[in-house]
Amino acid sequence: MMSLLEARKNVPLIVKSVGEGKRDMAGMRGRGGRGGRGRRNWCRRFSNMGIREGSIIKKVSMHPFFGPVVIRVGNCEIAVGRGMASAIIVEEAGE
Amino acid sequence: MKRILLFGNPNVGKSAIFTRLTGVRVIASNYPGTTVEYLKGKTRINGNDIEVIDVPGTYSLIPDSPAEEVARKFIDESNPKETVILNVVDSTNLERNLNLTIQLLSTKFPVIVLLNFWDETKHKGITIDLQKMSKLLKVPVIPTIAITGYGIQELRESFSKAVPSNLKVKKDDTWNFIGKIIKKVQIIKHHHHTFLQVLEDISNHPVLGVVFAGVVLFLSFVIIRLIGEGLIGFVCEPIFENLWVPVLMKISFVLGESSLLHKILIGELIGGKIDFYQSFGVLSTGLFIPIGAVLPYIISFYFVLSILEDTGYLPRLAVLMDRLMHQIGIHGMGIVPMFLAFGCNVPGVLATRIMETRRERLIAATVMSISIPCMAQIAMIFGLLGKYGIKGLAPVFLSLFLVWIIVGKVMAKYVSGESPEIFTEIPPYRIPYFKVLLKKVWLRVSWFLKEALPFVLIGVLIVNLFYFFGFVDFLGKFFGSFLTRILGLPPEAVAALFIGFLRKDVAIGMLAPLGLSMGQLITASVVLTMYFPCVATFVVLFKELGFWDTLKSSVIMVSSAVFVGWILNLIY
Repeated sequence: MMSLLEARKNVPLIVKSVGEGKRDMAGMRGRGGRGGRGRRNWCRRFSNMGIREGSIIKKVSMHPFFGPVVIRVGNCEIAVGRGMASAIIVEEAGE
Repeated sequence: MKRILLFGNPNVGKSAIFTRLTGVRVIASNYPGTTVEYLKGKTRINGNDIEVIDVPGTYSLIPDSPAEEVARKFIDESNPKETVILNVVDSTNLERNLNLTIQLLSTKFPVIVLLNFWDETKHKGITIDLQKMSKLLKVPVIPTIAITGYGIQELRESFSKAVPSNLKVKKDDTWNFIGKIIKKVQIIKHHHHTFLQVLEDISNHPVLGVVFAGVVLFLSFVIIRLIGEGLIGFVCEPIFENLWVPVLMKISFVLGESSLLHKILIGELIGGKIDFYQSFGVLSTGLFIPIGAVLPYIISFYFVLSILEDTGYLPRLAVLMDRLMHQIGIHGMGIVPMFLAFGCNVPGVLATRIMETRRERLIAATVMSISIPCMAQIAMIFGLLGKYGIKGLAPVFLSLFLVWIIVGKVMAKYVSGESPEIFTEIPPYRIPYFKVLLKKVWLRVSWFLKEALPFVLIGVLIVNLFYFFGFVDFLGKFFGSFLTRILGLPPEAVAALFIGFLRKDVAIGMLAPLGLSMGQLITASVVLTMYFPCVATFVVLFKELGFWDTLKSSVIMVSSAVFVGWILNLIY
């Protein structure tokens, strides 16, 4: 179990949880701002994009200087900020 | 049946299907009470005229954004007995797309599912069992390739067969249900990367991606200039010189050079001839600036931008730019409105709607109106300072970029609210559908003609009246010493600042006859770009941001313009 930030690139990862625990809130708020946004909202958007418990994803790239993480889900790529990525907990799926 | 609603996720080729169905007569309009735009057109099926609506792209019927709320409203307000829903689905991305499909099927509307990008499934090793899928969903399923028109005839014939599905799926069970359908209808085989996929990998790479972006942006710039200059040199100028000048000269002769009407319509004759940049009449400069000098650049800019958009490059650029954009407190997708603003600030400000929070929109709209010159301004700045080459042009654009980043950084520090992180889909690269592309360019260009042309003509008219009645001299005396001392500009330039509120390109054009030095031209160009948005942008700012935020935005603009002008004056 690890967050998407620590996961290896280009290996299938199985999503264990999205937005559980405390740190997701900090991450999804983004830097430099105050106040938070409902977690449910983000989880639903992730879910609509195909990132939810049990789905298989791949980490494609991670942009330097705290830039976004690019994820591949099915036949589609999604860019998310690092805070959100840290709230996606994954495990290597193996072959 | 009276109405067809086109539903689908973003980036599934909905617009292409829409264009296939409707042809040319299309109206873009705002949904009442919202700022969300949608397209409406007409099609003929079995001899009946039917309204077709391109509903804004949505992932779900439970709305998460204003665009999705509008999508929801179309469902609520349409009559299920007179409406058919076309659900456009990206067949290479079945699982995610089916979420919306299932939600649509549980409404009372008859639904037809279109599996678009059918050709791509073959390249990507995907096989889908259409009959099985149709049976499971209880609605017609039609494979389409919008670009070639494949499947559109079959679609037209199947409208009569469309019935409500009556599929019942519990909300919590939706993804399970989708999983089961996928297992039954779809087989994916391993395949080799196509050329476009290799390009995708390159442009997502943290290092190669930057190189790629540099190449793409440089090429875009070269192409914009090539098309723009080509249109001006080979189409616009010859037309104006050979067809319009003789007409104007006749009018000039009839009116007599010193009459008021001559001053207003034709302006000054320069050496007995009409000079489109300096004469400054409504019919000479007033018509030439928007149509002869600016329109070609608007066309070429939006052409290139639409290509970047429709191939799917813009979101990739947004990802690369995310760090830079966070410097000014907005995430990477903010690059899209910034880009649009280079064409015209108005669509730029409108596009700030894609940002989620008020803070982001205020920052993006202000920074953009201050420091991004629209194509009209850029064309005029090139016209004025082009003769000095890079020495004259670089200081203008460099100062504007510095202003962009400094104002942005300061606002990011002090404007309250939140800046969410980037969260966006990156669609695969696709060859754009040329008809959709042209239609988009045409919508944007015609918007420019409708909104900008009247302002230019009125602006030039007002300037001429002001000159004739001595109002400009009065203003010059009033603000002259301030202008001279702080900005180092002659008192006559005050008229340009005044008119800059109506049209900035006209204002910059007014500097041409004043015989300013390079330093003065640089200062004036930068100050004119920054000090206040043109009236069209101002109106949109007001609508988008409301009274207080527009006031804040305006104070920032005027003060930073004076400050930067003062500094430039010290340098030159």
